[in-house]
Amino acid sequence: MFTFFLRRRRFLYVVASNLLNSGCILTEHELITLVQQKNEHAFSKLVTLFRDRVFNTALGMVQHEADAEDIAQEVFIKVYRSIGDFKKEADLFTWIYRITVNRCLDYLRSKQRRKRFGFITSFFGVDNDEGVKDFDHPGVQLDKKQDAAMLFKVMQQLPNNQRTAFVLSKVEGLSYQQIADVLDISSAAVDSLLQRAKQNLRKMIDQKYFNE
Amino acid sequence: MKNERIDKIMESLDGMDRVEAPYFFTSKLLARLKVQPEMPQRIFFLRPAFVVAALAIMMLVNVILLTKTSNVQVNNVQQEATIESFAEAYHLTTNSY
Repeated sequence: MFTFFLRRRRFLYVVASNLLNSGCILTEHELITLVQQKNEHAFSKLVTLFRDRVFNTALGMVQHEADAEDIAQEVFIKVYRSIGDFKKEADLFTWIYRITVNRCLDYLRSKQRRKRFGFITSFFGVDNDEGVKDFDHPGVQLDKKQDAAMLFKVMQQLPNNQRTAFVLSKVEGLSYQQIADVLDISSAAVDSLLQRAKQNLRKMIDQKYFNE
Repeated sequence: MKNERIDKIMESLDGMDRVEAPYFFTSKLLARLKVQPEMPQRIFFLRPAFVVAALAIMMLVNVILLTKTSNVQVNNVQQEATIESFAEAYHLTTNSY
């Protein structure tokens, strides 16, 4: 009986690997099933499908390429390890975005904590000065680079929920409904978040660059 | 003029391209997945929030017990003083001449 299961499992693995290697298009449902069976080819396929989206979102949120790459890798490790709990009726796209956003928010919170305690730890000789540099997003059009750097700088002062909605909308280009699904709020709430984010950004740009 | 400039800054992200993940992202990820062991679920009573809360409760219980004990001691001293004065008033002391 046990050998039958082993053979069946091996057979399924070989079929899946052949399907993936032959470039056969799998449905999302099939892909999830294969990743749940810890199929490495299927996982690589899933990573290829989502890596740019995850990296781009993380980059927009944390504004640091090495940290964004690190976060994107952690997101996929989390996906691989917890896909067993993923319900197939749910949307994979939304689930992965949600993990990405949560991981980015954790990173931003720990960074804020480090900054807060930086004053105390500086007494003990620990250097916490990470320096505030202008962020140059590689996806921004060349003629808009300088303005985008100014915008990214003031975005750092936005509350986390407004910042997330703004990044998902402007950097990642998601629709209101998609943002609502990722943040688990209504479309009207997304609209309100974005309106407030834009108002705050305008105010901050005015104060920072025109009232000095 | 100023508003136009602010509008321009606000619109600077329009039409931006999605950045591609760095080279060898997948291979680095797969290597990391093999090296990094799965973290065991942390036991709930070892979580920092729980530990801090438990310590705070223990401190509170200690403070309450200490204040109560000192009150009881004060009461005992008062009670002894009252008994002694009563005994003296009625010549019930053990010192007899």
